[in-house]
Amino acid sequence: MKQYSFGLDERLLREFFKPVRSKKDVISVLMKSMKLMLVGDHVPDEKKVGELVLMVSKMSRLFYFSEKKYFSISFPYLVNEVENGVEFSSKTISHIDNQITSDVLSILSQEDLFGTDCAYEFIEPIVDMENHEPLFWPFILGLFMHEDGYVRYDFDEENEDGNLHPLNHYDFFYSSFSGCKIGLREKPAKERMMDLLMIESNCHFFET
Amino acid sequence: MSTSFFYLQAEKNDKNAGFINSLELYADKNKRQVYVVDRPLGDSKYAYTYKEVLVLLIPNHKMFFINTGNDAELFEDYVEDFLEDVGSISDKFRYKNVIGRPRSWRKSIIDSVHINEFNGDIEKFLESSVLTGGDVRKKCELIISLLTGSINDIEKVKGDVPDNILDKVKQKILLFDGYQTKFVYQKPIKKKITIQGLSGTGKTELLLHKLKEIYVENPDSKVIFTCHNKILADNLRGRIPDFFNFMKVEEQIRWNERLWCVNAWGSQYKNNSGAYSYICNFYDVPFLRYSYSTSFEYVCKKAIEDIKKSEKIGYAFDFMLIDESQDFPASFFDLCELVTQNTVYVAGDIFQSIFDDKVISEISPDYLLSKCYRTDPKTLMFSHALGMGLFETPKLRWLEDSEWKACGYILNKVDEGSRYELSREPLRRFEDLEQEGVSSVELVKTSVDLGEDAETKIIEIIRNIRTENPTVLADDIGVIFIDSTKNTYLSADKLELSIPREFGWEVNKAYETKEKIKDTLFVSNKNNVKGLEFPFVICVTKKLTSSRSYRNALYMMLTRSFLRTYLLISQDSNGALIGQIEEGLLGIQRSGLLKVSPPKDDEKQELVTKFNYTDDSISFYDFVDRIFDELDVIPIFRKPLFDVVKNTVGESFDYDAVMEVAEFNYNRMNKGQ
Repeated sequence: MKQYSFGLDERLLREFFKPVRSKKDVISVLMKSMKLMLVGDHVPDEKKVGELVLMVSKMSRLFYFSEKKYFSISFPYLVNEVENGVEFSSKTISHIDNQITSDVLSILSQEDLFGTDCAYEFIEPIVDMENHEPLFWPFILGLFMHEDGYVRYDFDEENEDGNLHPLNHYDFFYSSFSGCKIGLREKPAKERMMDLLMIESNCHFFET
Repeated sequence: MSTSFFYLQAEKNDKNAGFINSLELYADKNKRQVYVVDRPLGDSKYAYTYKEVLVLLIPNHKMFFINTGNDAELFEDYVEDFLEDVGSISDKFRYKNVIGRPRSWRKSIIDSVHINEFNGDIEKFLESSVLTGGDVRKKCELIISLLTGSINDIEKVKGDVPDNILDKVKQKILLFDGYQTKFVYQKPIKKKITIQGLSGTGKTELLLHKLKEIYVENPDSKVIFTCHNKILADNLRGRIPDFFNFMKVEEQIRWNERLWCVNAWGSQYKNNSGAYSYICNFYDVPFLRYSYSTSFEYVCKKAIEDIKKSEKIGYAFDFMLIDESQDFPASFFDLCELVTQNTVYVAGDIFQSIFDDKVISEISPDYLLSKCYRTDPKTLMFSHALGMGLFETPKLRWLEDSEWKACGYILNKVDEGSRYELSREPLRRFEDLEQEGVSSVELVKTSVDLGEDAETKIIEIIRNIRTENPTVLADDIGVIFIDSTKNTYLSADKLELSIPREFGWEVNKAYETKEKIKDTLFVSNKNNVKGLEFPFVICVTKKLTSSRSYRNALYMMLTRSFLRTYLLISQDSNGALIGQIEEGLLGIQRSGLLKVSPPKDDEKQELVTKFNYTDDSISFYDFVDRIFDELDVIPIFRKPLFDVVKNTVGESFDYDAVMEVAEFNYNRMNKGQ
């Protein structure tokens, strides 16, 4: 198991901790995180207010830590260590770079992407991308289809409501249809959340 | 003769024709914008009973009411009524707080004279009416902008005359030139009106003004504004309500009832999603969807056939406005003419690319806009030269004399045509740059050997811009990567991290967001830049290749600045070429001339494309006068004959009808004599 850590400054923290409410938001966070890791950004310690951790094992995950919130999503790509940092590859794309991540972000920024009733309107921009990225379709299809494994830890003073909405809790899933809370007695350490989600370590148990 | 420096919106007649003609000559000779109107443009409710008045508007000059008749009292009433209306228009557009009420400026800005007082020497007369002082000149320009419908955002241009060049150019009051005003306000002379120009000549803006005119003037009309690209159409649809609000249009926008702004094709099950889909539904003819084997040209031709066979009668639209016409096949325009009751306005670029060698042949637009208001003429010259490889041997592109002219160049052939000195007319927008000797293009070289990279150079340039222009904002700067390599995306991602840290500015990568975002620094590749302009543009490229699409992109991107373009280029990759370019740039900056030797005849043959332009946009008076010339009508009969023609056929530019009426009546007049 390997771990790569990147510091987050105020601006990056704002960027990554925007509310996640849909698959689109998850893909956007994933692409932006990969860009940050590809650049190999280094935030000086005095500016560091959060952290992004890429945990690589049989099942890889990204973790985002701020003072009051943590969240994690699964990371569906292979990670290769190179001289100046890390590189990523998928089954179809051998080098997921700063361009293809931008291509995905531009597809996501389309107004009404998932709202159109015309299949051609949906596929047209994707077909356009294939002019310079021949395997763009399987790549973006993979993103649309992959299970994102979203989990968030929340320290929520604003909405605290006894056992209905405990001060410390995990939120599993992001949509209001599927989401559920698991209460926590106290704030977990970052490592504890990582331990909870990694398959190599022992399971955690509910104590009821 | 026709010049973009002159605009006439008043009836030319035998009393004023001489005066008007000499004003037009004056405007053209002195490169000074002159407008002659008889009422404020842009709102038809302003009309006056006394007809024998001309209002003369020239920036930096007093505004003259000129009595061309003999009734002093009615003339006085006209002046009072007109000024009252100026007051109300200035109130409507919130100019009043800046320019004040008419009584506060009429003494210093307004003058009344009788036409006879000009005595033929217009130049001398006008020189004595020059306004002095920045404040009064600014008021004068704002009043002219109100009267010609060239409304400026008062929030942007208000305030004292700025002390720095950035704000001076930003706050410059923009006025339509003669051609632009003609396009917006002149009644169409035929069913399809085409307008062409280089990019940056203001075509889309003019279409929006035309749309507003049509929408307001024809209360029950159905109007569609369309272009080929969906993203562009979405963008335009967003702009229309803002534009209508800005122009204080009182009519509600009734989307999909009276007004459509959609791309051309659309989808089968959404009738209001495209021009073609609406038309198919309206006439109940089959809609063909896109496939690799179905071209838009074919579907339009098929629709024309089907509509002609269809039982449905009537017109789908009353007016149609088409932008980016270079993206369309000819059959689309035929379809548009077929389904539109009144007029189809078509706007497009002269060239789809400066290397275009097939599309533009034999096209004669009704309006040819050759003045590019987006960028300083020197920047445009340099960009054309670099795009066409004019500093290199062999050159990549050469234009025929008429084509240079269509692109707004003034030609001076030296040494029996073995050398050309090309220049452009100066523009009011950039006169401050000229005065302060600011160079509008800067070549910045990077060298990996010296440990330099594009990102650090870009940061350095931004730092310099901020030092030189303390009032500069994030959205005043655009960084454009011309090359499409993986590296440019990495550079942009690095800038996205370093610029906020260095300057506290957010970065907007437009190739991801597909839009311009307020208060952010714009970073893009050569796409997603359509219609945009910035005070400062930083163009980044590694190697100047000879590829046509690359050179065209380079030309397009370099012309996006209205203050300064920085061309960031790799010294290591371009060798001696950099020296040639530097020399060429220096030549343009020093003399304002692009000095080049044309390619030899055999070389030329390979490069030339044809561009044919004839000036069709003339006033009704001149139109009829030309027919009188053909009939040899003697001067004494011209006035009564003109009246007969006008009363019989109306102000129609129908050559046959005018000729028939003129000939018949002239024969009668002659016999009577």
